[in-house]
Amino acid sequence: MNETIAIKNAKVTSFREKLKKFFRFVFEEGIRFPAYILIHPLKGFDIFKREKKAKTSIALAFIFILCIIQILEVQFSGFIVNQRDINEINTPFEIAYIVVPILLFTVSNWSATSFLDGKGKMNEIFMMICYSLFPLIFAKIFSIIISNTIIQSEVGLYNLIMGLGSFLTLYMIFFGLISIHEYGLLRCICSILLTVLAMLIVVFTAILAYDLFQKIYGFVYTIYREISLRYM
Amino acid sequence: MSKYYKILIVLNILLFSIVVAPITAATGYNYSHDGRPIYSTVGLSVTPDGIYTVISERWTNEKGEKVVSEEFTNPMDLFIYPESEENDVIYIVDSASNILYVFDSVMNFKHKVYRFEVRPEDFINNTKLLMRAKTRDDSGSSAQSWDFTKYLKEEKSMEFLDFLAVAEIPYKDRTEEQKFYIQCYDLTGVYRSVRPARDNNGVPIKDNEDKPVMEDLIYLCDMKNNQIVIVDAEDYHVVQIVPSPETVNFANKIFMPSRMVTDRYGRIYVISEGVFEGIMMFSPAGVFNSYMGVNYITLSFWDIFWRRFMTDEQIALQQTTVSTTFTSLDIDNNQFIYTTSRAIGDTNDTRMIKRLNPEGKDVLTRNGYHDPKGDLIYVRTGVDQNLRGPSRFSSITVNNYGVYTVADEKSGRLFTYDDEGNLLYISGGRGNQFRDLNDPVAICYQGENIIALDRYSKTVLRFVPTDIAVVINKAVKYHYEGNLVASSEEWKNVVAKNPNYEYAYVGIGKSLLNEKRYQEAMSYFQIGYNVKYYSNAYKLYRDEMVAKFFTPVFTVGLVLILSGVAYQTYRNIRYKRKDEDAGEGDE
Repeated sequence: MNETIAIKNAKVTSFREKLKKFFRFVFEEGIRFPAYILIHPLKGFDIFKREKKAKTSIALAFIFILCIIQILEVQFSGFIVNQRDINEINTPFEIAYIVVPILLFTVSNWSATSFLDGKGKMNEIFMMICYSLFPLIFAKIFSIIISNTIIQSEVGLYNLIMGLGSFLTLYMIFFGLISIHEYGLLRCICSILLTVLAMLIVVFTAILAYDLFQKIYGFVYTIYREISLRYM
Repeated sequence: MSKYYKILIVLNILLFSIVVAPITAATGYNYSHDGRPIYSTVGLSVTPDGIYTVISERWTNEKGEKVVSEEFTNPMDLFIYPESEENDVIYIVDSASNILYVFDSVMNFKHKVYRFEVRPEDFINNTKLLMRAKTRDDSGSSAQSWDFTKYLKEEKSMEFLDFLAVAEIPYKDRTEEQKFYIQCYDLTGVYRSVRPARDNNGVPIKDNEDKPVMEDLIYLCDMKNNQIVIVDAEDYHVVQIVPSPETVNFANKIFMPSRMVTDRYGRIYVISEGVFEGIMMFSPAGVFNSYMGVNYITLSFWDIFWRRFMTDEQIALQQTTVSTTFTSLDIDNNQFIYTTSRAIGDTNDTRMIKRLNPEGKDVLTRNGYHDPKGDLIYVRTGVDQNLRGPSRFSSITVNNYGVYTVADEKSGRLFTYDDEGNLLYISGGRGNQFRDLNDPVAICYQGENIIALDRYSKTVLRFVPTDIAVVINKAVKYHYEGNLVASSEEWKNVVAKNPNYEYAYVGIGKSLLNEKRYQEAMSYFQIGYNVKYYSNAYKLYRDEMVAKFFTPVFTVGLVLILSGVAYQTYRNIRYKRKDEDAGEGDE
């Protein structure tokens, strides 16, 4: 009897500890570390890469949170900055609006930097971008709240917050690229230009493939109609 | 059982009789806040008794005279002049036969004027006659414009002094040989107004009660004779001629007046074909003063960039980028001139409609969801010149509470805007029936109705507001007069008739805003997609909330902070002493 009680108590404490541990993990890895990177980008991303401090779970969580905030933004931003018709909001499209560019940039950057002696792995590039979303998430949360309390002449404040968030994200990505690929400044800029080129090629190929599939579908459908009209 | 069947049959018939009720309301369209065309009823429609052509009985007067179709082949302009409270006179000019047709307010034909008499006594002070006339030989292309002195010589075998000598003879005693006429050549515009009469020195004449004497005049744009003929409104004799200006700023240009208006002082504003500098302004005496309201063109950065690398041949081959000419004009009660012009270079369509103040600046209010520019969606590329490009306005008319309608000759539609630039409704459209509008050359407000002249089918159409347009007009009128409550009531009726009419919600919201019901106003502005008014309402609402809750929230906050600080201080004092005591003890 006493044993079971002891086990139960042990379980309770372990659950409590787990919860405590979880929150500590979230705070340490999800807020303190990205904030540290934001303030010391070169050193931070060095720790990020060398000490393998980046966590995939945190990276995925950042993307997930940003998707949710993006949806909340189109839904709950104040009317003054957001005149979109609520009936025409397409949630999957909003998610794709976040996820697709990130994946596209990751793949393109990896393929571009493999030409330019980049030391980064695809996984690292992806996680680096996800960690860089950290300021954007906070800016968006803050701007959703702000947008509901401003009038038209105060839209500048909203734009400032959004602009600051985007700028910091780009700033982190830029230094992340330098750190992860162990590049100099000029080389990094070159690699970014190459990445943009690679992105364009990928998009072009995708559109081409889409068009091709449409044509094949049209061909098959025509044959089906021909047969069905003739024999059925 | 058969009884039930009977009842069933009767019920069925009743039901069908309801369903089969004729629904002939014309469906039109309007543009939503984000520029999508949405279904809407037309604003103005033509009733069967509002179609007038040469075959209608109204166009034969008591004397048996009628409008002959051979003489009504190219009608160019229509003007409505309110002669008294209930009686209007409608003038139509035909540019092929050069006849001025006169109708009464319900388009009963009264008479037509072929030629305009010139009386020597009106020109006794002139040293030379600048007027021109069309040759009598008016067989098509062989007709030409000639000097009046030449006319005197050829037709009457008279010299200028002989002409002046005729002035001595009393008018009643003159023979037909001693009467002189000019015929217009390409009569493209007509206008009638009163102006203060002036004596030979240009001083306004006053009557015994010290009121200015007004003269009632008809102005005719005589395009190929390069002049404006001003005739008396009663007996159509020529009072004055506005000839082609000979000043330096009009050198090397040809004066070809096509449309004109005058203001209340008698100043004449003329659109001349091929003159790109703007509208020509003449003094009442017929002296050219200045241009006003130029349609400036601007080259974009890329245009300038590419032009640097072009050879002269390439630039010559390129479509010439010149300022566009005006196509029509009208003047409102406040002496502002409304004009229409073509889009500049097929793309710059934002300033096609203008409202010019006396200085010549464009002061049109553009507070609507979009700039007033007719159709928002149009074909942008393609070879067919008739289909490509934005709306091509041929006429504009303003009513007495700021509502203006423009006629688009490309689509045959009428676009009506209110004084703030909101698109109220779209009406008309091309088609094969008499009631369709194919080539509107001139439109004119007659009260709430619009009289339109269609050059393609040679008809005059009376557009009458539909049920919803009547209510919209009322709402706009009340709003123009500043009666927001009545306006809001009318907008509510509009919403009841057409819930998709977005601007109506803004109208209701404005009244609510005035009544300080900010939250309701905000929701209406949000439905009506008006950010500006939403912002205004929200600002007031926010101020109200702050005024209401600032004191309690701030007080509670302050009390909490103060008590926290006090508690901390108390603790500090209390435990510090203990600590100090303990410290002392440790030592």
